[in-house]
Amino acid sequence: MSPTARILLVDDDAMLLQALPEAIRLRLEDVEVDTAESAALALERLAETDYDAVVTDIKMPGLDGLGLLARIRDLRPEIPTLLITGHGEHDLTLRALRGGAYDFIQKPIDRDYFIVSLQRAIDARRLRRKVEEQRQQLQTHASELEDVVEERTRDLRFLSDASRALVASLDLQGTLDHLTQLAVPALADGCVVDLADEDGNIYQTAVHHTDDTVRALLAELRRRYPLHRIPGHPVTRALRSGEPEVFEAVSEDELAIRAIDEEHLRLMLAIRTGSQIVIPLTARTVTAGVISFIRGADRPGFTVTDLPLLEDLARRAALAVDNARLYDREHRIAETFQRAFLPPALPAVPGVDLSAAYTPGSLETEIGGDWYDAFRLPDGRLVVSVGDVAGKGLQAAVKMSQVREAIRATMFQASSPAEPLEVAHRVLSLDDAPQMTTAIVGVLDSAAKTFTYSSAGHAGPILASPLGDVASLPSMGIALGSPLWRAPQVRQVDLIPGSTLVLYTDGLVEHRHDIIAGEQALRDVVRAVVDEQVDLPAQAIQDRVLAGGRHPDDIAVLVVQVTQLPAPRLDLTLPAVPDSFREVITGVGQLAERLRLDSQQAFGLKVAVGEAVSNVIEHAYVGARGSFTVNAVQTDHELSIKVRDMGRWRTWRPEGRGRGLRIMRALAGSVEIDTDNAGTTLTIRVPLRGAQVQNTVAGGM
Amino acid sequence: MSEAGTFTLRFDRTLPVMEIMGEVDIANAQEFETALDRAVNSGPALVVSLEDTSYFDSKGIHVLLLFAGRLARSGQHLALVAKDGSAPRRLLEIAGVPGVVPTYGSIDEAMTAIAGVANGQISLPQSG
Repeated sequence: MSPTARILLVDDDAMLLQALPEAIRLRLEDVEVDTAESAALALERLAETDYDAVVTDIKMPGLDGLGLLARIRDLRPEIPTLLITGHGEHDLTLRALRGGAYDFIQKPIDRDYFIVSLQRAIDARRLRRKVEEQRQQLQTHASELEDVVEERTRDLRFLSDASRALVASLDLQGTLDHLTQLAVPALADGCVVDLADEDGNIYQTAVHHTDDTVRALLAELRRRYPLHRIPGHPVTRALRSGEPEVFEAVSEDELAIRAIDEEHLRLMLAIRTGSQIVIPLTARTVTAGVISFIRGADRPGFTVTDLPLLEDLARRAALAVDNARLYDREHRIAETFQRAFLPPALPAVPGVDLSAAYTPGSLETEIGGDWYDAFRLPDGRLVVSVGDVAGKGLQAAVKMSQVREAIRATMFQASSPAEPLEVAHRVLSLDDAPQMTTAIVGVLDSAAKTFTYSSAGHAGPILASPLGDVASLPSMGIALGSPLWRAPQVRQVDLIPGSTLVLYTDGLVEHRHDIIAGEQALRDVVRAVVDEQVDLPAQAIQDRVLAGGRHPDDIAVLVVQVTQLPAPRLDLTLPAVPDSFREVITGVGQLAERLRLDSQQAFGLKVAVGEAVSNVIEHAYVGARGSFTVNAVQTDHELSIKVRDMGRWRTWRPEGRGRGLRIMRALAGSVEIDTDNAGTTLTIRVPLRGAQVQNTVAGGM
Repeated sequence: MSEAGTFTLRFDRTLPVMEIMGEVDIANAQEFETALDRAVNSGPALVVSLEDTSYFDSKGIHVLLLFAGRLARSGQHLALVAKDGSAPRRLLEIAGVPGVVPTYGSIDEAMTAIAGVANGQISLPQSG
């Protein structure tokens, strides 16, 4: 049944006002008719009532029908208005229609027409109302839907932000810290993440809470009451079951069940947990830990409806934690591996100070394949190598070790530093996709005071001369493993005493993005470090260049300083007893090494001096105590060693009828024996050749 | 400090082989002599290797020659091993040792030669 329709009839003709409502009521059901004798009265009623239709005479005193129509259009445009016009008033009729009248009724009123028109107006009005209602309903529905969408969008945005935050860090503790901070305070007042090993032992925890005091309490709880000792704790349970648990209200009874002693209960009560949700962190079928969300008693408690969002967060977190754990492991292995392949100690080389520094890249990146190396060849020359395998992680570290070993092994038989690079290139090229590697290999001949090097696309070393100038030596060649490989050139530079040579990997200059500026900064630092005569120059250079900033790449620095070589000396005064013998031989051996005599020459020199010393010990002081001296004297072309005693013997009496003397003469260039009142002096002279002469020119004695 | 000599003794097919590692000098010549005396057994020869000797002079040579003489009197031989061209070999040559005590380039060479002597195929020079 349709509801009652209300219509307003306006006419200054009292007769009509009486007759028409009667006629309407007779022909239409459920209609209420109000009447008004003037437009002014009609407007009053219109202000109060939302009519379904208005019928008005067009000609009225005061405001007429057209005027009223205009007001109705203003006030309630949705109300259909019918106008009653006189016969032949076409002009007025037209104006009425133009003014927005629904229809017009001509006098004398055809009642049937009037009723049909009125009915149509009422129906139209009702239809409009219905449409409006539906529109409003739709709008309400739409805005409700919008709310739902908005809420879900907020969740998704939160989760997507969470995912982004979680992958931002690959370091495990960093990931955990991010995770706990994500949920607080948006979803919870506090958040705890516990990671457990296969045996359920918690090994790492991150705690966050809006209230620092509570945060400290939570941390203290975890420290004092390890979870593996509390089998009834929901975290321990979730670890076992892999199922989440929701505590809509955490009662004191519940806490009493969890507590293992009074103090434990007291601490838990102090946290004032209102509600709690614990969710296992499960990724790749492994439950690595549990995330707990807590809300204080003063905040609306968690309900199961909170679970989907938090579970979604936990799923993402579990993946991030798992990645961080894997990464953590690989990073540790790679770093251990790489450090194991750096030389544990730098070789001791007379006249050369070596210093090295290696720093792995910042935590958040992976370890790289940088290395430095220094070792001595059997002939005493020093070999240094520095390089950088492209790529990161364990694979780069392994490749680095191969390249380094190839360089080492080859260098023992190489005649030039280009050869080990050639071999390293071939070793790398055995792989289907060779890892590009830059490297520099150099040979330092401290006797000839030269540095001979070859480079495979590696940054040229920096050379600081004692005169104050600092220069970058040219970088040469093409990276090892490159399809464009060609045999590298070899360069030689003079290293006068006091020179400093710095070999480095590009992490040291690339952190600045502007390599040219980076190299200039490095040269400035090298200059300063050399001037200040810093103890550990490699570390100092690295520290100063980076100046505490981030360095994503790993960095290796090797510093070679050529010192003023002290002239080999031997100056001994010893008691003439057999126990003194070995000290002399040791001293002569060291002298031979510093003169870079080969093993044959060294043996000969030792025996020659040894024969003389043996003789002194045995014969110079027969039955008496005495001492003797051994002095080495160098000239440009020979080494002479004097063995002098203050004894009284007059005849050179070597063992076995002069065998010792024969041996001495055969081994040394010449032997002179000079006896005077003070004692006997025996002088052995050994010619020096080439490099040895150069080596000792500076010193003399 | 340089290392005092150590004298290691092993047996190669029952023949004693003594290796001098490190130095033999005035300070341990006596010890060297004692070690040689102890190394001898009833076999036909004693092999003494100077391959790993870092110092050896007329003191050691004196001990070796006296010892070779004692062995000869009991019908045994001393055989020395010093690699050709090595510093100890050169020293032995300077002192004229290979002329009186058979000297070989390797232990294997010495063992082969001694086996030959035992079979009567060759004879060794005798030290005076």
